[in-house]
Amino acid sequence: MIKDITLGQYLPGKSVIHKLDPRTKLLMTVCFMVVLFILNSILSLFLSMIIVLICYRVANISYKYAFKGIKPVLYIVLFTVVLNVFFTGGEPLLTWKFITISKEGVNAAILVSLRVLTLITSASIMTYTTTPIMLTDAIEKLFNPLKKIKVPVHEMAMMMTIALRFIPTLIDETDKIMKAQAARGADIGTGNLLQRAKSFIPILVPLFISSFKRADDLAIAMESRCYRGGEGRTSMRILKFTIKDFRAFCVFILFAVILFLIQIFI
Amino acid sequence: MKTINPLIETNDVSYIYQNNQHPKKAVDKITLSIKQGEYIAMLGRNGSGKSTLARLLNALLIPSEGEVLVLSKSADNEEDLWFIRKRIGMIFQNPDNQIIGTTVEEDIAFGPENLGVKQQEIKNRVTKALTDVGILDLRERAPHMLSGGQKQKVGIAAVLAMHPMCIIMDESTSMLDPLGREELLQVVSELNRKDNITIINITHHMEEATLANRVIIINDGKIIEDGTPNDVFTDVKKITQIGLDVPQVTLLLYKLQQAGYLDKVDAITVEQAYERIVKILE
Repeated sequence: MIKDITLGQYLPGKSVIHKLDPRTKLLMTVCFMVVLFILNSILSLFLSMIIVLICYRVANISYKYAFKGIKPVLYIVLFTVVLNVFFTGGEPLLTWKFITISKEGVNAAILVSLRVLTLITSASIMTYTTTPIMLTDAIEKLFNPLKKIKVPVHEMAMMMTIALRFIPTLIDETDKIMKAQAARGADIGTGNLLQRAKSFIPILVPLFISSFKRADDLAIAMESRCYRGGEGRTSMRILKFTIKDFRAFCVFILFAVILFLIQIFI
Repeated sequence: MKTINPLIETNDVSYIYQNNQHPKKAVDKITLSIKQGEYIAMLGRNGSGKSTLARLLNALLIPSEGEVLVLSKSADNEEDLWFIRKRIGMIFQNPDNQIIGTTVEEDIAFGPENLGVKQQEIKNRVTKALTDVGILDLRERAPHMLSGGQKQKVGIAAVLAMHPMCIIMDESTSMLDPLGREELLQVVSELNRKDNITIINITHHMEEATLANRVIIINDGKIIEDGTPNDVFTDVKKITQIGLDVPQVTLLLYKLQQAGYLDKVDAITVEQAYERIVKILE
């Protein structure tokens, strides 16, 4: 059940996008998000969607797989579309009894859904092509200057690494606990929303307790292997910007400029 | 790495857990000397203090009384603490809870990274450690895709990459299936024989203890037996008295002795026992 989540999973590959420095991908994703929020013409948002879809092609990720990933988000998109269509005032396009659909409403609905979908697909292309550990490395390196103002950058990156490391382990454990509780007659996932939420307590409590135990064990194991924080620590992986990253940046800026020009002049 | 001084020395070492109002003395005045290259099995019931002793040996715990010396250094100051932890590696019971990296390679690099080893040297060490343990093919795997035995091998490789002089296994075989256990013990024996690394195996399995060349039995925080497996286990009465088992074949010979077929119990492996019994039959 939990294993079916495809959003944010790494897909190994050898494409240009896979080979880019994780810092490049992270920076570009963040910049792209900003661009998406600034853009507000349907045409340029539509074009940015096309660009993202081309990126999927380049990264050799099947559209089918990508679609599976955004499926849960579609409901949210649908919800906002409904809200926007029915509750935006303006020039009426269609009126039926007390329901009015305005031109502005349709426009806003299209804008929002395009924006959200592009946001998610562009962010997931980063996670599809970058291993979580590379991403953590990138975050640590990018935020490194913040160490000067006493932000515990290394510690945060280490926590992220450990969280990533333990996700599959905890999923397995949740599965085991669910089965164990079901064997004792626990009724999980039936009834109304409140009942269902309540039925998760017998799963969460043991999961929490064992997680604390794990954390304790892990801390001792780390200490016995001479871990003493980020001070004086070296790394096996060293990130390097290459000419590829420079090119990717140029292409990105070019597209961004084109999108803005389209918005202004068309 | 031959040293004249013992690798680990403890002098009257005690450890008291300050639990609420009931302090518990887990280790009680233990004096012990361990030489480089020894293969030691440490036995004792649950709560006998054997795990506590192990943690005292690599400075995870600091003794309440007495001192622990590793190569004549005690963990009094920060510098010596890391000196000790680097040389005395430890592998724990639950294989899942000691893997820090998201891939095998990452995990093995964790130790050398902490020591501040240069990048290229880390890569060399990782490859060497994986080869020594025989899991070079698992290099890129994620830890949750490994079996229990493989995870513990990763644990050993991770310690090896720090170039230790001693490896302590704190009930590391207890969560493994028989095959995984056998493979792990084989790897450890090999390291002991080839690289002269001291092994301290804390275990409940008597059969494992027969592989060692020295057996230490701990009860109520005290050492009550210390000798070769043959000497220790053949004292069947004493061992069963404190609630431990002897290897099955030794028990068999003990029964035979009591029935009057043998005059002394002196076998701990199946082969030895076989010889003795064949002799009786003849």
